[in-house]
Order: sequence, then structure tokens, then C-alpha cells
Amino acid sequence: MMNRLIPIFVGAIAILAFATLMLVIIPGAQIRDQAPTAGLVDYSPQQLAGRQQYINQGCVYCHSQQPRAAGQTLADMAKGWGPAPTASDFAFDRPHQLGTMRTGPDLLNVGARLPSRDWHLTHLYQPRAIFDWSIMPAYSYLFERKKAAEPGDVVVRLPPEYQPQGEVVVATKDALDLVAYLQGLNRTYQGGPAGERVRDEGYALSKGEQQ
Amino acid sequence: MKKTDSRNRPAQGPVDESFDPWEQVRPVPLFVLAVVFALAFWGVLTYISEYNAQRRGLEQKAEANLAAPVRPVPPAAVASLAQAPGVANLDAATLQMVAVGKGQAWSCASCHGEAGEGNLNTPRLAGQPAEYLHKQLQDFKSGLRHNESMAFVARALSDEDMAKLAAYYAGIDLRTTTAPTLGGDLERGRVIAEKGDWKTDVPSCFSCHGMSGEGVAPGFPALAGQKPDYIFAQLAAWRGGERKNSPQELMDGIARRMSFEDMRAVADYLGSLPPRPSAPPLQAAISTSTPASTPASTPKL
Repeated sequence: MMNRLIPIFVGAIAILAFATLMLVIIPGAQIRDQAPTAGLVDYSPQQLAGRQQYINQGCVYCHSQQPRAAGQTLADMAKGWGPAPTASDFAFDRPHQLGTMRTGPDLLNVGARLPSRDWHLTHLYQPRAIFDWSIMPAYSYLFERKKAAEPGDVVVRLPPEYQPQGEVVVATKDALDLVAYLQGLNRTYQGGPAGERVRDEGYALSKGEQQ
Repeated sequence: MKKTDSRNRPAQGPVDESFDPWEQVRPVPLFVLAVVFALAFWGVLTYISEYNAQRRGLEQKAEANLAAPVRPVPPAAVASLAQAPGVANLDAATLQMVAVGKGQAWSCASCHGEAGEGNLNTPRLAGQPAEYLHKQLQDFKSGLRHNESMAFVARALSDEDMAKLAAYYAGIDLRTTTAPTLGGDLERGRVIAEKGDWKTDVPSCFSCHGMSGEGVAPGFPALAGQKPDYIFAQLAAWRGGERKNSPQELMDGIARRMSFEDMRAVADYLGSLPPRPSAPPLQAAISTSTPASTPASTPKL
């Protein structure tokens, strides 16, 4: 028995080392020096703070940030989720928030299709004020209720049924940061021909084959 | 018993006394061991160095961000949108709705852009026929057209507000062009837009929406320069029964007869056309046009 322990141990390490090499080290070496896509702008300090909120609130558990390519499905395109990203579109995301769950919509281009700060504030405070069927949690703890808005306060626009009696709902810094991050999520810039060449087209026939 | 048997058998060479079928001794070659450990060691070192590099990178970025907190905005694009003819042509009440909002309604410009240019599946409003825009707002309010965010906005608007907003966006002459974004077959899109596909009973887009897709008041919206993602999303919505406010269910049937690849192609083609001012109402267009210029494919309405 003792004789077989070492081969098992060595085999396990070999498999782990091989997997690490193929799945971590080689892909890491391939993308570590990739420049950000032309048109991609780094996050501002406020957006970085909002990104931290995005992580803290666990948005990634329900929202992905990776629309699928047209060659895989046209469903994401029909929802207006925008083009499939390339690796260099995530150059400033460390760590990325790709996500795997699609309980909610994909958010990689939410800043392009829903650029309204006020929409996001209403939606974060009470998603069911807009979508009565929404199952998203209400992030009302990112907001304050006040008797009257002070100068500089951002008041949330609410329908009468969600408006507290005699009070206004005001966004906290956390809510404003998070919305700034969401507004900045926009990978719809034209990456130029170089960007298009590496864009994932899924299993679609290559352009040469189509012709 | 065993002893007598072995004595009677012919000699078969020396017998290994320690032979045991279940305990084979096969040491792993030292070379393989060395390679495996070297790989594992390399992996750990790489991980540590990557981790440190990332941390340093983040720290440097935070410092750089503190040093230069203002994000550069491309000034040319902003200026050209704000200077489009018609953008400034509005009264105070309309300006309030467009730029600030009204009651529970968010401002129009906060999603549709400063000049109503749109993005992705948020449509371009600039230059659409006023009657068309007005009807869509009414349909959002009544639920005939299904979109929760627009229904939220439309509930806060009076019919007079809707008419004012529709007239305002109809009056914006925004000539910015959109590049194709869907990767559709543009040549196929051109054929469908200009000629249609009569094998599947799909009429040409231009036969109703104007000879350059510029839109025909009151009912047919402009397609030239509309966002490809929006056109595709609407075709898909008609096909799936999600959008049902087309007059006489025209678009419902057309979209059901189109393949998804054709929708993608035509959306990309139409979106990349240069936008033009929308045409006068259909009756006027027919009465003023000569028979030679009337397209043969125009269906009877």
C-alpha cells in the first residue's frame, strides 16, 4: 500500500500542475499584455467606489457581464444587451465581474441602453415601482428619507404608491456611486477593425465560409 | 502438495521468491518527479508574482485617479449633438420634461440622449414623425405597447405633454450616422429593404417607410439611422407577439415571415443608412409623384 501512495500523490500533483498550466498560466500569459480596447476608458474614482458597491451588494450573483455572441444566439441581441466583449474589454476590471447567473439581465452595456441616473435610482430603491413582476431585491437601505431635500441632495422620483407620506427619498453616496458605475458600463464603442477581428463570434461560420 | 508439483514441472528459470501480484514495486522515475515539482513550484511563483503585480497596479491606479479625477469627454461629439437643428427649439415646459423630468417621470434626454439620438435598444427619436411618436406614448400609457419603463414615464404625461414632446423630437434634424453593430449581411439587408423577399411574402421596407427609409407620416416611423439593436429588438418583439400596436397587424405578420438572420441583416442595413427628414404624409406623396417615379412594388393600402 505504501508503494502506491507516492504514485497517487505524484499523479494528483501532475494533474493539478497540468491544469494550472493550461487553464491559468498559459491563458494568463496570453492576455496579460493585451492593451485595453481602443475606446475603453478607465473607471473614475467614483465609479471604482460604485464597483466596490456592486461587489458588496452581490450583484454578480444574479447579473452577468458577458452578452453572448451572435454566432451562439441572437437572443441577447434581441434584448439590446449589445455586442459580445473581447478579453481586452475587461482590461480595467480586476477582478472581472463576468458572472454566470442570468436571474437578472446582463449588465455589461447597461450604461448604453439605460444611461439615466434617475431611472437607476428609482429602480434600485424599489424595482417594483417600474416592473411589477420584478424579483430583484429593493436596495432601499442605500437611500435616506428626509422631511425636505437639502441643497445637493438627489431626490428619487417615485410613483405616488411608493412615495412616503410627507417625506422625500434621497440617494446616499453609496447609491450614487453604484449608479455612476452602472452608467459607466458601456462596451459599445467601435473597437476598430483590430477589435472586430478578435471578437468572439461563437460557432458562426467565419466570414470566408459564409461567402 | 505444492512441493511435489514444482519438482515434476520442467525448469522455468529462477523463481522470484518475493513475487507478489498485488504489490508491484515500480518507482516513479526521478525525472518525472522533478518535472512535476518544478511545474508546481513554477505555478506557485507565477501566482505570487501576478498577485503582487496586480496589487501594485491597483495602488498606482488609485494614485493616478486621485491625481486626475476628471474624465475626458470627447468634445466634438457633444458639440455636434447639441448643435443639431431643432434641439434648442422648445418652450420652457417642454424643456423641463426633456431635460429634468416631470413628476415621477425621468427626463427624456437621460435615456434617449441630448438630441434624441438613442443607443442600443433605446431608440433614436430625432426626426421621427410627430404623429407616430405621439401614438407610441399613448400606446405605452394604455398598455397597447408593452414597455414598463416607458409606461412609467407615460403615466406622468398628459396628452398635451405627449403632443408637445412628439412635435419637439420630430423637429430635430440630426444627421449623425450609425455604423452597423450586429454583424449582419449588409447586402442581404439591402435586398430586403429595397425589394423585399417575395418568396416568403416579405415586402420591401421602403415600400411603406419611404424610399430612403426616412419615414412617412403619420404612421410609418423612420428606419434610416435608427439604432440597429432597436430595429432588431422590435422585429423580434413583433415576431414573438411582445409588441402588438402595428396598424392592421402589418409588422406582426411581416416579422413572423422573416428569418432571424434576415432581421439581423436588415436591421444593420437600415441602421447604417444616413437619416433624412421624414417625408410628407402618404396621400400627398402619391398625388404629387409622377407614375414613372412610383415604385412597382408599392402595395395597395
